[in-house]
Amino acid sequence: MSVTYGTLIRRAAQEVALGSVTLLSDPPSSPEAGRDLLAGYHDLLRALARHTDQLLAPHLQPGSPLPPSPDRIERTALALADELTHLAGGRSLTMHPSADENHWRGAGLAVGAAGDLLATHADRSGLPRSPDLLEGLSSRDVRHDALAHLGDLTATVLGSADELTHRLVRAGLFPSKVRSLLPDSITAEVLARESSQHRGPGIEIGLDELRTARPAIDRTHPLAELGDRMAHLRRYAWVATQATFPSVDDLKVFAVLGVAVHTHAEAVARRTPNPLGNERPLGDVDGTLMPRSRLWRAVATGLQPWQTAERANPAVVGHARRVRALLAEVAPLGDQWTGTGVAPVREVVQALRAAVQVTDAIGGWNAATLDGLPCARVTMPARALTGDQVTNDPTLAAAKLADRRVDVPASGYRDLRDAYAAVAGKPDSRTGGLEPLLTAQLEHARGGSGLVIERE
Amino acid sequence: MATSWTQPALELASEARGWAGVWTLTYATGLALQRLAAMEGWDDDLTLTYAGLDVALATSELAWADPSEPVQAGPVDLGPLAPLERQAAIGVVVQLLGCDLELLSTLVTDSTTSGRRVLSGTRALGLLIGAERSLRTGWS
Repeated sequence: MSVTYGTLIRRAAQEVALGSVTLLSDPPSSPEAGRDLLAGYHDLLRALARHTDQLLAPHLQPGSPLPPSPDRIERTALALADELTHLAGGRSLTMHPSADENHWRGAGLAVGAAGDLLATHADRSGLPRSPDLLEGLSSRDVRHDALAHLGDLTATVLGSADELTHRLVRAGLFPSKVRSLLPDSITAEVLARESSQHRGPGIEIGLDELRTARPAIDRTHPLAELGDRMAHLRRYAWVATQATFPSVDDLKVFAVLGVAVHTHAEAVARRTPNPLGNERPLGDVDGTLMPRSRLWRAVATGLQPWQTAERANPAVVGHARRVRALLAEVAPLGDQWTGTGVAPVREVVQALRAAVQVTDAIGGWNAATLDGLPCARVTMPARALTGDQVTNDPTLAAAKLADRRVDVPASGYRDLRDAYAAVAGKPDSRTGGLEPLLTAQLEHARGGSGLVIERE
Repeated sequence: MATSWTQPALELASEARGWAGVWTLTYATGLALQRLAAMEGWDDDLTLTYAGLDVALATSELAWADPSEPVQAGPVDLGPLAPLERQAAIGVVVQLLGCDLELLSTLVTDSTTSGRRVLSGTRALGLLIGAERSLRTGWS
């Protein structure tokens, strides 16, 4: 599973703390070691400045009015970034990093990585590459919170300046040189303190869980790989909502993915009714997993006759194909329980629960993609229309008899919209031909023993 | 064992000619697989669903090389499925798929076929072979 923004920022904080501790416990013992330490410190200040700029970069704030007008908190942060750049100088002093561990450089790398992670979510023209940034940096509260956290981190780093000056002189650097390389940072400290005071609870719900938009696939363990590939599929499902000409083949692949994930989850839930060893079951097999699996099947069946000129995205096909294989490996269907050799049951259950949640999100985006399909580009053979669909439409009836290709009629869209709504657990819009199936599923769910699958 | 699909499938296979015929066979196979997969309790191992998707993707590959093909080909549907044994119905689909593969193999290896069609046809062939293999594995 790829690293989160919150993890990287926490890592930076830990490195900063270690940097301060090490300065006391293991100070530099030579001018070379002192210069390297100072270079790491400067690198960190530059990384913090760059990250502040990134958090406020217009192209990373999709949906914001352009050009964005920074408010007082954001102006303070920008002033801090300028001040940090002034303190650190434009160019890194690092020539030949020493073999000694430099925690400040490590902190700088973590902050830089957090910035890189943000950058994967939008391109330079401001078009989002993932759904997550829209929910993140576009919110002023989330931005303020991230800036406050950064201000807190910066204030901590700057708090070491006096001690660092002292240690560098002790290590053999000329005091005048040290003073020129470590100028008075009081302005920056004031700005950092002010920035850090606008902290709210938002970081937890804002950027903390943000992952890179395109995580590397961890192929060292099937459960990790499953999570990573589902994350990619989630993003592609969202990307399809932004496409001018989406492909119905992508929707077909996602529907089969929905069937697969729920069917495998159902199989595991039946074998391990309470694998967590506590009062929380994996989920209600008959009330949720099986009906959802059938509803995804209804989506797949409804889509099968549809055709667009656009073929499926090869990445969607590839990830989905691999997910199928991984599901068979970690949660095989049938009676055997060979998956136990792969990972503890508890971990398999957690991975499947996460995968089910991803299919929920995908279903929502697929429904949006369906609504955005240009009707004139979606055709089907009239012979694949049901009798009900042509009964009141002489044109369609004639086309069915003559075996012609027609635009998918409104009733087809309505049926599929119903199916997607039901997949998402919102069967309110039921109006079409899938009514009997959906009603049966709901009745089944009501008569079932209980719970909806646990959401985390 | 004969099913309500046996006769229409035979007619379809015997009338299929050229690329239009391949498209028709492929499309019909995809629809048939989804119908089977939707039958309660017939696709517990997901073989039919996965094969249906591969065939659907193959259909689009074939249409990609010549978008006019689907219009000319006159797509077909084997019709509603009478209550019958799962195995017999899958057997019909496997035979249909076999005819499809045979015809498509001939076309992609024909030296007069254009390069674009050879490539899209070969991609479709790969998908159909995968579908047939998984169906045969699940069927036998």
